[in-house]
Amino acid sequence: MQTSSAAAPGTSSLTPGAAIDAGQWRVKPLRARISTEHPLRRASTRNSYLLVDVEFTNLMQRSSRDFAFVVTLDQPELARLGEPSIVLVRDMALPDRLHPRMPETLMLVWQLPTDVTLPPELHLSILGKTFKAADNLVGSPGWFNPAPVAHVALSLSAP
Amino acid sequence: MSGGAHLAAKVAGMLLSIGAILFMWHTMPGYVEITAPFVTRGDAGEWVHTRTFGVRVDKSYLSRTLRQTSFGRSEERTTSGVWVIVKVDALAVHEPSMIGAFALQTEDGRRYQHTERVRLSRKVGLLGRELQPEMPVAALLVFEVPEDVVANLMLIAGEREIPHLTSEAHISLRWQSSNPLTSIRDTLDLGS
Amino acid sequence: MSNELFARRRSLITFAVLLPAVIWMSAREDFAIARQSRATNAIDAMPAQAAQFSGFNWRLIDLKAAPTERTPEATQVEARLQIIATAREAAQSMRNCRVYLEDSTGQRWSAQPSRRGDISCAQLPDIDATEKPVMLVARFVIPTYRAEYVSLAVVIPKQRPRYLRFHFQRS
Repeated sequence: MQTSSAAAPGTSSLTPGAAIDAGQWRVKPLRARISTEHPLRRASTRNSYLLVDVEFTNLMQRSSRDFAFVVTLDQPELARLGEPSIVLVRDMALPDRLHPRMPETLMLVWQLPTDVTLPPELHLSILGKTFKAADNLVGSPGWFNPAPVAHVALSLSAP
Repeated sequence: MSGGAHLAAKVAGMLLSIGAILFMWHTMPGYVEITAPFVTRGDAGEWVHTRTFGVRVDKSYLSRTLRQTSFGRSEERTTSGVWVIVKVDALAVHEPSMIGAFALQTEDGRRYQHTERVRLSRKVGLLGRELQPEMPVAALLVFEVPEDVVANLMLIAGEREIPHLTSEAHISLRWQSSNPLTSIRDTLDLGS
Repeated sequence: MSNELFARRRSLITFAVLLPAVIWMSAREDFAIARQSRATNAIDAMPAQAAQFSGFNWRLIDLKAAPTERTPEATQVEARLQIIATAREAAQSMRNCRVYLEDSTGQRWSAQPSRRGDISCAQLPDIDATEKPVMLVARFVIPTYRAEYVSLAVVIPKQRPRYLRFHFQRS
């Protein structure tokens, strides 16, 4: 996955709560927080999680679940958190496809290793893919080449 | 034949060939058109038979909330738009078959594929259910769509999610009132 | 001039020979795949006799039809097949084997999910059928007006387009 520093050329800087059209999705980062509870798992006092709420609106012509690549953590010290699990906030359950022009808030959940200290501000990249009318393999249309289109800084609130 | 006329004929022939090649290049159908599904169109209330299955739209309902009992627990599902529940009958044609993909299409071509936020049992839903010839079964299909597209929706039922060279039935939904939004229920119970 | 005529004729004949040859060479595999994707060539067997198919000896033991309790338009058909392997590696070739009821127009109905304790033919790769015979059970629900005119078809992907078909003796 590509990530780049906040000063990458050709990308814009977002304020929390503002939306940007990133190819397939209109993306609106809402808030970030630390919690001791995983929204899908049984409560346990040992673990803590980084939760980031992002509103997604499908701008395509059909339902899609191609949203997992869109939001990435920018800070290199957080690279080892890996891929987040994604929760549909409306159901507090695993997300289904998101349907065209129907905004939904998704919660990205990273489990935090005990020895990670989070910075006071979280830097996120918003990635977008480019539409190609004909791919190079068979000539069918599709979305390719994820690249950062915007950056956002969310302040981290404790539970 | 004089030399000049001969050359002119050659040039004309070459230009004609280049023109023909350019024309064919630009009108060549793309991969999506070549592998397009075989579409059968029909109206709500009548049987629409494709090569592998038949489907009939019985009735459609609108609801703000769906209620369902799963594992003994009552669950409610809300939506930012409105739930569309389509009651259909389905059967196989000639050989056992399945309907593996269904969607609602708006007038401007947006496709709302069936929801997986509500899991219907095999007795009620259609996914994973093998259909048999001449043995129609009733089923419910569930979608969520924005309110402003409800008036003109078309059901698309197909063999598979990736519709290359498969059969598809396209059936326009019919609402009893001219403004279907007045008939939205608050809750609809899908049972267990 | 006659020389040119000769050359033209020769080209035409070569073309007529080469075109089908090239089509056959490039499409041969596709034809084969298309042929093997459907079970079209029936090996017919009478219920009383045993039939050899795919390394097994097949015998149709019983076929019962009774209207279902809820709807008289539907009939439940229960088929019992006794099979014994004639080759040790036969069971492996049975992968994805399916049993159908078939009417005279080739219309087919597949068996319902097998009940606990019943053996379906798709389970055969996991069962040793070399020593003693195995009884397969398949249950179908079909329209009552078809129940009298169906035969039992055994389709094994590896054997397609050939398949085994039992005709019933109607009483």
